[in-house]
Order: sequence, then structure tokens, then C-alpha cells
Amino acid sequence: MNEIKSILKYSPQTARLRIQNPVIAAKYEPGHFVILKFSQNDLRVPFSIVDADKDAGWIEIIIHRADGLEELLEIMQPGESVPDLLGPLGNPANIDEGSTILFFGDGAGVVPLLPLMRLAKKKNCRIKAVLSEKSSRTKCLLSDIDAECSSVVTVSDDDLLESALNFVANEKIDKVMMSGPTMMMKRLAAETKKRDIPSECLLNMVMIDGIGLCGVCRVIVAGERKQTCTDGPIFNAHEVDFDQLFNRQRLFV
Amino acid sequence: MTPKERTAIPRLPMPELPVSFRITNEQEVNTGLSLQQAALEASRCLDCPDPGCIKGCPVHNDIPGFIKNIERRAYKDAIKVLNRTTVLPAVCGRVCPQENQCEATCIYVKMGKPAVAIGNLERFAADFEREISGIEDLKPSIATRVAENDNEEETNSDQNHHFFPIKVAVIGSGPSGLSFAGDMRRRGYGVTVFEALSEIGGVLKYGIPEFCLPNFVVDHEIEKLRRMGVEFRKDVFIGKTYTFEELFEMGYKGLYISTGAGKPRFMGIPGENLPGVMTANEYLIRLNYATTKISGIMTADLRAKRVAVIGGGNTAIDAVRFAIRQGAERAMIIYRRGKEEMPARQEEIKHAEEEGVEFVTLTNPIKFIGNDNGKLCAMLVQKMQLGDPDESGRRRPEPIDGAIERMEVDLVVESVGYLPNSPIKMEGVDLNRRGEIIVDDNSMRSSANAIYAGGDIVRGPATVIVAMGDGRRAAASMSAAFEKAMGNISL
Repeated sequence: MNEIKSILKYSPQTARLRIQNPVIAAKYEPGHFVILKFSQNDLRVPFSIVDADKDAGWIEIIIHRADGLEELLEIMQPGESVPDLLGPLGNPANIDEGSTILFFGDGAGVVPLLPLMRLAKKKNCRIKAVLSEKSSRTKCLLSDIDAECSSVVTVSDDDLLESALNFVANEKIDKVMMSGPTMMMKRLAAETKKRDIPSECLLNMVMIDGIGLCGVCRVIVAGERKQTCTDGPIFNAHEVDFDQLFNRQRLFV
Repeated sequence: MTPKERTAIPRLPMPELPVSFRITNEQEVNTGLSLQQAALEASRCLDCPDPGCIKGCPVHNDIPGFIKNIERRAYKDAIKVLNRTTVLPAVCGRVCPQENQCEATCIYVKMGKPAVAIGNLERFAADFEREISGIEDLKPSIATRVAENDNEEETNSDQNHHFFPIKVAVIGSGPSGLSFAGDMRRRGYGVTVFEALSEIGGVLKYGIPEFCLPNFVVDHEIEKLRRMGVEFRKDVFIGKTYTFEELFEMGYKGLYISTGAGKPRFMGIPGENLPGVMTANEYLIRLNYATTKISGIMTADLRAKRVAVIGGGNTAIDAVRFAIRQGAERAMIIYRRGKEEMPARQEEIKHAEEEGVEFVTLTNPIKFIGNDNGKLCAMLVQKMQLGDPDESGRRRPEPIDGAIERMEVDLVVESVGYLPNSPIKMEGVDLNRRGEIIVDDNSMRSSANAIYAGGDIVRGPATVIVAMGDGRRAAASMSAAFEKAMGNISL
């Protein structure tokens, strides 16, 4: 159980791990995440599941140096096992058959969008995507994303928001799904709210237990306290209190 | 020894580490009675014909039975008596509020004297067994040998007790689940305990700090269960990893839900989401599991100068004593009632006072204030006074008009109660409006067939021993139900 089957290194910073866990693989739906420990003495860290194969019994996650995993990225070898892997956690994404969806991603936020785009393709959606060019994750995942969905647009960070707004202004978009820096999501959500376009954000939060005990991933949604681990990770972007979220997140950088 | 001689012996205090030393580390504060001290304390027990202490114990330990064995210096017999009714004697001897349970009903209290130190003696018996068994070093050969020499008959019955090809699943490995697991295993059922976290023991591990309850003590009790044949599976979140239906499909004939109440309540006042305000769970889990690397935050951030812990329960006291050990200049308990109304154990409060905790009572925070950087720097508190008793029997705290003060703080730890850990997708299991599972008081059976529940998920936050009592009752009624059903099958 939990054996690392393969490690695909996109760059010295980023790698895709395939981990054997048939139970989680069987339950996986896009939007789910896992919490795992790489060594006995670490606290657990959450990772989005980017892909899974029910028949072969594996799941895949993407890890990055910024997650504090520099050393690990260098020494980890296939055949090793992670000591603790819990999942699938969180609630699956909801995507309507045949709809048009704009995906908006930046930085670490690009990673969890990949399985959502794959789901959208499976549901015969029209897929639009605005992903930051500077993000090292975009570079790593671009070929995967190209293979998974059509008409991906990448632009530089400077006019990321502007490109998204162009889509929103000029095309009929049924839903926006965003994952990226908090203040950028705040601005995009404000614009889509003006235009009445349903919008969802996928939050990438620090978690300790992942089962609702610690409250560290709390976020205010529509005036109510929600926990990203048990109530999320996807929330209505028009209802999230991004300012409060931003202030809390600064604690963890 | 005459009863008069027995009652003339004063209660022995629990030996403990000196304050100046213990606040520098996380070593267990109480060091335990010596052999002589234990025998002397045990001789205080009058072995009453109708012992009140047994009725005061939620799992009905045969208290005079084990104590008189200690007095006779038959220590192994003492632990055998305890093992009949409890799977966690070393834990209960440490964290039970004995003053409200067994010791409250001790005959000595009626005589106006301090009760027999039942908790300290229980801990003694359990520690004695652990220390001679060598199980904590996980050396199977020694442990087995001790067990074999001990009493061959009993050992065999323990090992070969698997009468029935029936297995049951326990959800949550806290005290209630462990108690249920032990009792069902002894009755001959196959038992698997599922735990969502990466450590077996539930709140005993993530919640209660090392200086109150060392992890090796908990691990030893779990190891004993494992040796009885109880199977443990960590990293399994029932409802997510497996559904309840799947557990039945996997062949489990009965479920015991003991997922506890660990979802933190919040005060719901302005500023609660500022960095610097955290729940007691977050604070305790970070510190209890603290190692070199901590996800997203370094331990240094937990070393605040002025720490205010809101609440008056055991968890609050645990947190504030941890703050002292992290080097806080001011470690304060902020409580809206008076010190007498605090639900925490007396011993915990005493330890906290000795260690320099400030008790700011009749004080209730109404707002947390951030500095220019958006980090917590102060809080506004409302001073309170006590009015008429409320439904809990304690005098109700009421705000004093206009008595609002500002306190400078760097870290606030909220410990204002817990909600049930919401179980996920359980068809047919009725919950009350608080989200607790509704069970029959005697059988602990829920509204769904073959699903039983107990501990905090049923009654809200309570104590380790009450949760264990539920586990025992559920095991008795679930096994009775199975055995009745088996009786109806003609072979």
C-alpha cells in the first residue's frame, strides 16, 4: 500500500508522483484531495489528486519545491512508500454536461485545475483556459493540459486578469472555475459577479488534520464559517470573503 | 490493621516534578507512587461491604478488589482485577476526574476526610504491569513469557477466545472505541478499529499533552489490545475511504461509531479569523505532533509572549500549560465565570497555578483586534458578574454594564467547546439537532440495524471514562444481540 510507482520529473522543482492505493483510486472523483506524510515525523500535507486509475489502483499528485519538499524531490525513489496517505477528502466538482467553462489558474492553483478540465472534456464541455505563463506549474503541465482539453490560452502574468475578462465580455461563459492567488481570484470574482456568471474557486489551504478538527482552513462563505477540508475545497467565488482569507494566508508564507 | 488504624493514615500526595524543572520540558508532571507508598495508600481503603466507589465508576471497576491486592503486594493480581472491566487503566488513572466519580463516593468523603487515592492506585497498578512486562519495548518474547508464567489458563483463554466467525468494525480509536474493541474481542469476536488520523488513540494522542499523558502509556494499552487480536487500521476515514455500506459488504456484521466530538466551536466574535487566533485543537495538535518541520508554520510562531486561552475546561488548561512550556511571559486563562465554576479537573488547575498561569476570571472576550499588519495584537474583554444559577446549576455570568477592558495579547487560543465530528452519509442513523447520534440509553443501539454508537458522538464532550462506559455497554448489548440470533439458528 502507498508505494510510489513512478516519479515523473517535469523540472528540478516539480514532479508528478504515482502512488499505489486502490481504495482511494476506486473512490476518486475530480476535486478530491489526499493528505499525506512523506516521513514519519512530518505533519500531513494536502495535495489535489490530479489523476487516478481505478483498474490499476493508483492516484497521482504533483509536488513542488515550494511545498518545502526540496530535499525529498532529490532523494525520493520509486519503490519507496509514503507512511501515511488519507483520502479521498473534500467534495467532488460539479460540471454540467455540454456547458462552456472558463478555467483561470495561476501558480500552484494550476495543478488542481487539470483534473477539472479533464472532467469538463468528458462532459463534452467547451473549455476555455487562462493560465499564467510565468507559473512553473503551467509550463510543466501544459502538454498534459493540451492533451486533455482544447483552446488553452496562456498569457503572461501582467494581463492574466485582462485576458480572462476578455473571454467573459466577449463569449458566452456558463461558469468560471478559478484557482490561484487570493487577490486575483477576488478581482475576477467581482467582475463575474457584475456579469452574473456563476463562478467557483478552488481553495488551496494549509491543513493539519484534514478531517475538520483544527479549524486552520476556515473561510467565511456567505457570512458563514466553512472548513475547506470538509466543506470545500470548491466554493462559490461570489460568496467567499477573500479579504479575510488573504489576511489569514499571510500567516503561512 | 484495625479500621481505626487505617483511617488514621493521611492520604498520600501524588509525587510530582518540581515546578522550576517541569516548565522547561514536556515530561510527565506526576511521577507516580512508589511500591511502599502504594501499599500504604491501599491500606487506607476500608473494603466497604457495599462500596460506593464501584457505583461511581462509569465502567464499574472492582475498586476495593484491586486496591486490596495492592495492599497485599499482589500487584499482578491487582491489574488482573482491573483488566476485567477496563482496557485503559494507565490512562484512566491519569486523566479521569476521580474527584467527581469513584473518589466522590468513597466512604472517607462521608467521614470528612480525603478519599482513598483510587486514581493514583489505578495508575500504579497499570504502570507496574507495563514496567515489568517489557511490552513497551515491543519485545514479544519477554511479554509473552511474562504472560505465560503469569497464569497459563487466562493467557490461553485470551488467545483462543475467537469463538465466533463474526467480525465487527469500530470507527474511531479513542477511548470509547478501544473499550468496545477490548470487550468484543474478549467475548470472541473479530474486531477491526478504523482511525482517520495517522496515530491510533484519538484524543488521547492528538489532544492530551505528553506532560499529562505520555504517548508511550497510550501505546502500551493499544499494544495490549493488538496482542489480544484487535486489528487496527489508520488513515481510513469512514464515509470517505469506505462507506458504511461497504463495511457491511466487507463482512462486518456490526458497527460501533465512536468518532468523538472534536469539531471546534468558535466564539463567533469579530476578529476571530485574524492570524494569531486559533482553536485549542490547532494549538495542541501542532504542539503534540511538533517535530522539525510543520506544515506552513514554524513552531516559533507558537512561542508567543502573551497567550490568552479562552475557556475553563481541561483542554483550555492543557493549552495554557503548554504555553508556559513554550516560554510565554504571560499565560492566561480567560474564563467568563468564576474559578469555582471551571469544569477542569482540580489537579489540572492546581498544576497550572503552580506553573504560573494567570486566571483571569469573570471575563469574556468580545472582540479581537489586529495591528497594522493584520495580525492579532489585543482583545477587548467584557467583565462579568455571577447571577442566578442556570440550567447547568452553575451561576450564570452576566455582563457588568460598561466594564470593558483592553488586553494586549499575541496569541489567542479558543477552547470554548466541541461539536460532534459529523459522520458522513449514514443511511438510517438518526441524529439530534446538535448532530449527535441518537441511541437507546441502555443498549447504545442507534436507529439503524447493527449500528451502535457511544462516547462524545452520542453525548457531546464528556470524559474518557464515560466514553469507555458507553463502549462496554454497547459491547454487552451488541454481543447479546448476536448470541440471541445465533441461538435461533439450528445446526
